[in-house]
Amino acid sequence: MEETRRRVTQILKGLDLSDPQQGQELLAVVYDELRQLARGKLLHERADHTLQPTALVHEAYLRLVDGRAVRWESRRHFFGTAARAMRQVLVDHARRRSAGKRGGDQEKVTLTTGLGEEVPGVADVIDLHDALEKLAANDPDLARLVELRFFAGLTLDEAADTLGISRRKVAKDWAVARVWLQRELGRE
Amino acid sequence: MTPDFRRLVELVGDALQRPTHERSAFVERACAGDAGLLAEARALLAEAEATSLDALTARIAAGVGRAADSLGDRARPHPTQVGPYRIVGVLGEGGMGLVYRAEQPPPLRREVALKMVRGDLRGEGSRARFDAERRALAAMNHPGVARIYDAGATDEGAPYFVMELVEGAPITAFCDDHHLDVDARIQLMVEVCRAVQHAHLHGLIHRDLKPSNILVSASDGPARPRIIDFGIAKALEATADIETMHTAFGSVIGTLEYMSPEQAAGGATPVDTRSDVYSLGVILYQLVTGALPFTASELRDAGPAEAQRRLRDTDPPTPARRYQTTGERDAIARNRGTDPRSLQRRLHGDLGWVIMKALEKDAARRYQAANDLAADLERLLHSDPVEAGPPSRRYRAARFIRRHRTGVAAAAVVLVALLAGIALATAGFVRAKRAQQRAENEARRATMITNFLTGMLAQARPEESHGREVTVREVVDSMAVRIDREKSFADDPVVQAAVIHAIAETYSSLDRYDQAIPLFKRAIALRRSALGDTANLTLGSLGRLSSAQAVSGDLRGALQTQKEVVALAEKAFGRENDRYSGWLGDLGNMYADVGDLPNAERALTEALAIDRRVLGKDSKDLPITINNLATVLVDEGKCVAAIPLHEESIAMRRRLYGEPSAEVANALGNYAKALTCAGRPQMAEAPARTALAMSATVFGPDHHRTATVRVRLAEALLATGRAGEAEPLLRESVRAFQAINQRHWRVGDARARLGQALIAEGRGREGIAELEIGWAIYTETTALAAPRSREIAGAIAAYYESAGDPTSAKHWKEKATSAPN
Repeated sequence: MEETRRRVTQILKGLDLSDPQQGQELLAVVYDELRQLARGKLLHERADHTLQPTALVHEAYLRLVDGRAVRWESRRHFFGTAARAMRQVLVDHARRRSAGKRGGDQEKVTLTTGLGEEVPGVADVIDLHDALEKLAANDPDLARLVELRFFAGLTLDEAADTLGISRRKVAKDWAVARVWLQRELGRE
Repeated sequence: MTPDFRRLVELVGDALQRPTHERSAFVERACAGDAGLLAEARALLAEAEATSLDALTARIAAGVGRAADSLGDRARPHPTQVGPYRIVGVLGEGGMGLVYRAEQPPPLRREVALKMVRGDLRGEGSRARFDAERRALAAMNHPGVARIYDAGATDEGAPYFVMELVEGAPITAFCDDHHLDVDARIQLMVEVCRAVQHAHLHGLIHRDLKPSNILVSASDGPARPRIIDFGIAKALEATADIETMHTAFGSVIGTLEYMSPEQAAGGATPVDTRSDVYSLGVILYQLVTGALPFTASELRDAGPAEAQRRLRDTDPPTPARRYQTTGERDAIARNRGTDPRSLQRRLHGDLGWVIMKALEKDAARRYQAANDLAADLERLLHSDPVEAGPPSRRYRAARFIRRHRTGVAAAAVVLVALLAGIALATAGFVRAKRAQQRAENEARRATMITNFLTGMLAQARPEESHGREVTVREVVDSMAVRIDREKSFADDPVVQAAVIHAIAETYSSLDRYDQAIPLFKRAIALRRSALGDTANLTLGSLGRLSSAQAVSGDLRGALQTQKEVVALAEKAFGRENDRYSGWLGDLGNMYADVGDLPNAERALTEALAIDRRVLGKDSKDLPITINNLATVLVDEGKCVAAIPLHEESIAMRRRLYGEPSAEVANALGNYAKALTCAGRPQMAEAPARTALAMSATVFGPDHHRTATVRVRLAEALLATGRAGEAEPLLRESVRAFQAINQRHWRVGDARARLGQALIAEGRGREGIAELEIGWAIYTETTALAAPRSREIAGAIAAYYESAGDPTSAKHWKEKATSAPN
């Protein structure tokens, strides 16, 4: 654990944004950490209380980064990465689940509870992911903003700082991004 | 990055900052002839106006959260053992957690479903509460409810339930797959309702009834529905201090579409068995029309606050209307083995009304028990008239009042003028030495006004006046509000009390006891402080309060108030006078109503003794007291002693009131009861029939006093072996009592008798259901040890004995012979 922490802090301190290797390593570490946290969180969550991914990300930060040693900009970078990692974790998992369903369950009707009963009206995380990929092709900053908000739970101010843009601009962009998403997600 | 896209984003971002009506012009200018860009911009802006971005945000957040949730589940490897159960497979994933296929330990080795639920039982007291719920769940045994065999928690405190492994498809899917027609679907629902009722009688509410919780299988024989997850929601409350259904982003978890308005409101609103009735109504709606009363998108796209508001305030379309406007009429009709026209026709009639009654927003207006819904559904199947009806047929249906401009306006004006008159008269009130005397004069004036009003309103029978009654009530409502702001009253508590009492009296006469009672209490408080405890007016208000409490079914409250009155009356007047004996007699009656018969007999015997001494031969109060004492004796089982008293009272009343009259009718009815009870039911029928005819003439056929007499006749018929004739009489009476207050003890009593009649007719299943419900309602306000409570319990025990269920029989026998609680 300590080892990991040291490594992560090191990466963040000396982060060379042009080195994809470092970015990948960081992503991998954060990814693992988030999954572990999710598993551990389960037992302590109350029934009906949704696991908050943003809480996970923040906790991951506390565990992985020595706050004193890194610069503030690095912290922002962490969250950017963590948001991406969180998104990846959730999408990977969702994909695995739906693959299982389509293939596997022979006894489709032998259940004691509503299997496959999706809560209607909830935007599927895979759909969101696909929409974001599309958005990123047109405007990567906008896509990153959405990612930071939903997967890392950053406030508009924090997102503005992470992206290096003004508060006014981020507010405008957030509105447009959601409108765009609405249209994209509304397409069946 | 596409430069055009960036431009588009900037453009739309700026446009969104402008007010809606300026946006179009703005983008046109900014696009400067670029048609493609303009079209894109317009499309996005249209999207922004059509939707709630916050709702979208919530939806997306919920989706992300949900993904994270299941991440948590699967991140953990599956156990191989949970408690003593061996895990052999995964059945699936539900809203609450994972479900495994498991095996019970030897020697049973039966396959069961083991449901791991999210939660933490390590908190103080959680375990105990969880266990209590678990025991209640395990005690249930009904073919329609999936058995819960066991429950527990892992070492980490994660709760689990072990349930019967139920095969089947959700009821909606089953019905569609098998193309079940409407009647068959209704029949299935009847069974579901009965199962739900069974659980309710055990004190368990499901809270999450929906198609995926009602599984139907036809693998061995006829289709059998089974309800799963009963009571688990409640058991899980033990794991959390606050039951919350809202995530951080504010979206509601759980199946909104089937949730009753009071459940969606969450928080402090109590959820009871009637919430389950609502959910049953939604499922029925869906089975019959192929659509939901409130669609998923309607509720979810709006955001949680708006969804709650919709559930609470908006009326869903009737089933007929919903089917009419739905997109897939052919497919839906085909799934029900019929054609669109026939299905549409079916939905227009009673079936539609039954469903709408189950979906009433006010729980008090729904079917009060799942069995009542089942009963109406069965009536549908037999083409019998149902209890549900269209709004115009409903008595005192507040929402559907037709306003009459003529007639009532007059009454309202009078009311206002008279009350204003009091204000004017006292405006120039000068405090003099004998202030109290003058105040009592004024108050006496108010009493006269009240009497006038009450008399005037009493003439207006609700059936005839429809809107008339409502407009008067509206006026009274506004008067009740204005009273606090009326400055001239503020100085004079006596006048204020008089006016408040008058308004309370008016409410009473409109049967609005919920309004009347607090006002009486206010009047009492004012009169106590201004006039003293023992003033006539204070006692008068107290008496009216206890009356109102009694009629509205709060017998315990009435008793308390009345005891106070008697004590004060003794202080004020001494014992040897008719004022004291009058209050004492009323107290005796209330004791009787609460079931404390020894005290009732004592009070009434004393009151009668005083009355015989101080009242003249032609006093109208004397036969009342005689009658009341006789009634109590009958309730105690001392029926033979009651007979001469009744005969005396009838003779007196005939002389004083003539026939037909309310008083003679009342006395004859009680006489009939005494005869039945004394073992001479064949002699009771004649006076009972006379009483009923008279009562119907004087009070009207639907009046609760007529209903009481009708019950007497039914008793006599039952006792002479004519249960079939008694049944319809009892049903009519139940309806009449329910119109006052669904939980009134008379409702309980009548339903219990109905149960006995049904059993006597050989319809044991229906009968026992009525008996049990009747007992439950009756004992809400009457002591368990009261003779009638025990009598009903005894009847239930006898039934189970003869039905070959000694366990239940024993259980009820205990209730029939229990010591006072």
